[in-house]
Amino acid sequence: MTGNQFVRRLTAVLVVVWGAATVVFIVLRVVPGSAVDQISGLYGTAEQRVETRRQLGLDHSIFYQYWLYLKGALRFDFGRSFYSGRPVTDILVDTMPVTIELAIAAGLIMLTWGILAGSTAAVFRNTKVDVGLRGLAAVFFSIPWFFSGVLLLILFTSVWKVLPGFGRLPPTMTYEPTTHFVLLDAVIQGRPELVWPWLSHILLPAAAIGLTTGGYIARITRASFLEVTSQDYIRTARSKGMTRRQLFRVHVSRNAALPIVAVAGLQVGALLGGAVVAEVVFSYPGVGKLMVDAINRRDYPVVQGAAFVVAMCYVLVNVATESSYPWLDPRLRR
Amino acid sequence: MGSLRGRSRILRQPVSLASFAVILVILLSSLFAGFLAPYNPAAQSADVLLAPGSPGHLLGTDNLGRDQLSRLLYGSRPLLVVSAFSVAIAVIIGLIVGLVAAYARGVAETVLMRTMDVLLSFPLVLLGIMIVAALGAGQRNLILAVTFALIPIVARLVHSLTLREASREYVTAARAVGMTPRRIMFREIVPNLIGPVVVQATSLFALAAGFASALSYLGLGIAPPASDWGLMVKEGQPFVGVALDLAVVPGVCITLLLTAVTFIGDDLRDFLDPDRRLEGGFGG
Repeated sequence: MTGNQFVRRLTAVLVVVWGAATVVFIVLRVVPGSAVDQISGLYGTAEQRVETRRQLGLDHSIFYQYWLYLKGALRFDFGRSFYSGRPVTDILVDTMPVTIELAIAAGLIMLTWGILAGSTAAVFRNTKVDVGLRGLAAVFFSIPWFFSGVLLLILFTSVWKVLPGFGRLPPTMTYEPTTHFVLLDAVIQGRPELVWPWLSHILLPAAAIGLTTGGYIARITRASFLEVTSQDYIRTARSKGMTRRQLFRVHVSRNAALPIVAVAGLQVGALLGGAVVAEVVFSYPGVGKLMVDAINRRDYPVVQGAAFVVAMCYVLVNVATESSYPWLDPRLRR
Repeated sequence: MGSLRGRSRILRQPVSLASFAVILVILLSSLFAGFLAPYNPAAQSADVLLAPGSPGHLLGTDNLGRDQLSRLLYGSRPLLVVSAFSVAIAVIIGLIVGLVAAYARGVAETVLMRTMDVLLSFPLVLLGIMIVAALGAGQRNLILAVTFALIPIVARLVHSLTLREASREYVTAARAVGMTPRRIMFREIVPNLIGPVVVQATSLFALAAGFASALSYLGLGIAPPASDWGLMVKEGQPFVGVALDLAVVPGVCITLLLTAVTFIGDDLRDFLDPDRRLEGGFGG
């Protein structure tokens, strides 16, 4: 990437980041004229209402509010929670890694089962294996995230009783976060006993999202493999005596990867959104559960901070995905 | 040639037929819920709490003694209404935004399409949660939240299709005979967009329905005491140890509906728009 391209790229990213921050502001700050009513209630006195307006910063002009908001967002300062009084930033530092962890675990499950199922279906195309895998992928893809969660919860916690259904770690276990990522902390703090309890808690919510979103990856993988294997250069390579294994390694996997990466990148939104939903199903203490609880408590600073951070995460992953295209496809390296 | 084969194939495929049947059954049962439902879906009765299926209550009752069959019959209504309205509105607005952007070019195009990019930079569920947080739960706000999430998807598709169509010979020909740009847009280009947009709308319907039921499940959509499949899963979940079907049956209904719509969408895509079989993603 040349310097010029890099600058242009960075500008585009900053515009999207600024736009996303603005959308959060518009939706959560401009629209809820009724926020004051909801917080002070119908019977709040005039003084209480003025105080609430002041707390929300609604007594300033909308442009000044926007300026303050942007200034705060730049420093990741979203004020304090109405509910607990803790700085929103501290709460997010505790919860965001939980969601990222969950989304990554879900992504691994999504890619593993999606790519395996898709490529297997492509190899055995138009056989019973293909039809079965395609049907399975389509059905999995259509199960709403919350329901896949509920089903797994029923199966593994009440029918078979093999996995825990709630929380991130057993409540009896002490865990002092260093990085807030349990697996990293287990290594850093030298506490291998953390690994299994953590894994057993994350498995179900991650599978609830990964299995459903993976249905779509399976479809794209199959289509992409079939597309590549029908190309002339594959037939040429084959007739020149390349083995199937070589062919797959040199030509097929590389060329089929681009659409899969593109779609996987798009699915990150689904992974994050799915994590939000799954956290509620499994009482998993991440940013999604935080947001839904905060909405029910009318804790607007928390909702705003959480929405901002999740959106930023998504934007950054999208940038990373797009940046990987030239690496996968040299034709895009211009 | 291709279209003829496509049409007969749709009718012959057992999966497609089953999908049609599922959608038809769900549509009819929700339309005629008033005739079919044996009880008022909101009527509670304290002497049959969490009862299993019996001749009086074919599918049993929930924790408040409400008839599960009646609730199931009525429970598809919010889902269908929300999805249908939000897809329809999103398609109209998205079509206009995409067309205007491609038609105007220049600054207007940049502003419109960048705005769509920004909206797409939110996970759909997050956008929905934010809108509901601002406006409060309820069917109308749910429609608004889902619509907002869908508009950029349609706008982006229409924008790129319009740009593609605009470079085709028939448009050059229309310009050569002196048609105004507006007339070219609506008389020549729009009819060519209908196929892909219908295909897109079908998959958006599945997306919208899944999304609406998820918000209801989170307690941010349809509010109790209404009957709604997503809400019913949430309400039944604490009782899976006693009455498994309370949460599972409505969830299976949603899944059946979404699967059927997705299959029909695939058939439509093969039939109306054979070149674009690979495209059209779901951004979560």
